[in-house]
Amino acid sequence: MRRSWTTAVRERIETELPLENALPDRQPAFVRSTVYLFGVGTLASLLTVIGSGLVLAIFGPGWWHTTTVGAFVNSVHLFSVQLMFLFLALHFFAQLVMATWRRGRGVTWMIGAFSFFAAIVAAFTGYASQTNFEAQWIAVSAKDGFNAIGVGSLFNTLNTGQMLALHVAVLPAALSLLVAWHVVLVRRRGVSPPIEDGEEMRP
Amino acid sequence: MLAAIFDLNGPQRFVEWGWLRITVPNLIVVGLLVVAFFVAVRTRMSSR
Amino acid sequence: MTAPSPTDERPYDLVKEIMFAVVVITALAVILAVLFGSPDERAKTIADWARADGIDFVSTALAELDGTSGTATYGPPYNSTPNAAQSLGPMAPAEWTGVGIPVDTATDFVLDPLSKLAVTDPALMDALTTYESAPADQQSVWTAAYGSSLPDAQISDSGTIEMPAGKYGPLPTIFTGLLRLARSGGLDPSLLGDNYFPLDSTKPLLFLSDGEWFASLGEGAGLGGDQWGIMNGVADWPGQTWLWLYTFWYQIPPWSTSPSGDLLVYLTMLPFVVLTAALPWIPGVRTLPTKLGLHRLIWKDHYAAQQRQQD
Repeated sequence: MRRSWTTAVRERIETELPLENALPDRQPAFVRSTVYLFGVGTLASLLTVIGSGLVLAIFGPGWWHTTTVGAFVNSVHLFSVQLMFLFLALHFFAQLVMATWRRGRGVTWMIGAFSFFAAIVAAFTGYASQTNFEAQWIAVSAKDGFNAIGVGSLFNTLNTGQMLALHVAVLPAALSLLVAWHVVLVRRRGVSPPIEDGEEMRP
Repeated sequence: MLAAIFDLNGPQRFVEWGWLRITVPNLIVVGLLVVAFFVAVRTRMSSR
Repeated sequence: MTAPSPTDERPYDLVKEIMFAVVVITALAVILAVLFGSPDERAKTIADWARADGIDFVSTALAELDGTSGTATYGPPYNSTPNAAQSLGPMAPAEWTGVGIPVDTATDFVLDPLSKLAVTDPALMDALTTYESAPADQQSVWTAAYGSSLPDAQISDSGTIEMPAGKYGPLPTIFTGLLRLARSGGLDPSLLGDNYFPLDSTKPLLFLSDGEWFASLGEGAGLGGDQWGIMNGVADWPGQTWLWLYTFWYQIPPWSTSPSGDLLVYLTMLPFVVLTAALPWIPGVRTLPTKLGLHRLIWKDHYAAQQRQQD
């Protein structure tokens, strides 16, 4: 009988990421350093960004311009983004100085880097779709760079509809996928151990 | 719902040093970054 | 109690940690939102422009008509002006991908919108017909004369452009018509095209960006490219600090002075992007961060426990 794809996927998950590793209730003692909070800080901020963003999306792109509640939710969205990049920068720098790509964690690092780039593009499309003066300025200023590298027809910063659609659908999907993959890889390999004397910095 | 407590509208405040020009709020964010990292490296979480 | 060993484990509640983090971060974001709010300066319209600086508006409209404006001479993706695309040696990506967003500034920004207004204004209709049917060199004579006198023009309260005496052909009627249309707010929707659902602001934004007025608003707000503007927030709000390295190059030559500065900046950033993603696989570079020795502080307890075990 031909092997079931479902069985193969299930067995693969059971081998690669058993639930005890996916949802551990113990960690090595060295995970006491506060720097180990930066990753979850980034993730929690991303959830707040998405949550506040969903509210803005539910009520439409004009809502926050004309109501105080909308303006407040927009402010929450702005500061969630600021917090996300703050924790992201801290998390990135901490992983850098701890060289946490060691012992098979190179892809984890790389997906983390791609998440960072996706976050930048997501933020950019957000700024470009605000439908206010700042959005006009940012769109007009940024177009020259994208035009110069030949993607200006495909990625038209002056096309508000496109920027908004990318910001609300495409980038959140891409970013969520990358972050989920990153977290799965972290759980799969476990937290990177402290650097041993003479250890090589290879992945 | 009230308007924001601090009104940040107004002329942009910035710090200039040679070719470096950074707005005051951006400088504060960078400062927070440095302080947060410095504190985190030296502290431990309590057991939960 | 025995001293901790390097292989010790501690209890860890992952679900509680993430819930706690979400609550704390949400509370922080709400507090910051209540304290500081967020900027929301109303978008500028062509009507705003025409009312605030009519001469700049008309000068720009003239440049759109005679094909000398920034957009008219931009090259791809808006038109195929030769040698306009940013390039580095043989590399000119904008040329390779071509004109994907065709814009004819004379037609799209001036003549087409006016033709709609001209339906109710026979004098304007005549002026448009005169201009459009004149040979190109006659058109150039008119636009050159109009352009050189425009700095000395005055705009009356009723929106008439009072020009010094000169031979401008049908242009005074055309531009007075355009100015009045703009000031009334009727030009903005005209620029959004015949699409019932105007979700694409390309044309009005290109028109706005060709003028001095819009540029002066951005520069005045500290958002210009050579003011680290890419990184700056509006007024006293925090901006996009994560774009610091990308912004940096725009402040120094040759990136700040080259006509292909944007292309150069992207090409400069490319190795940094690759370096960031591929760091674990780059010998030499991947050993640099640990030379800072910060990991010794982070894992201080672990190394102490290890030392104790060895002793």
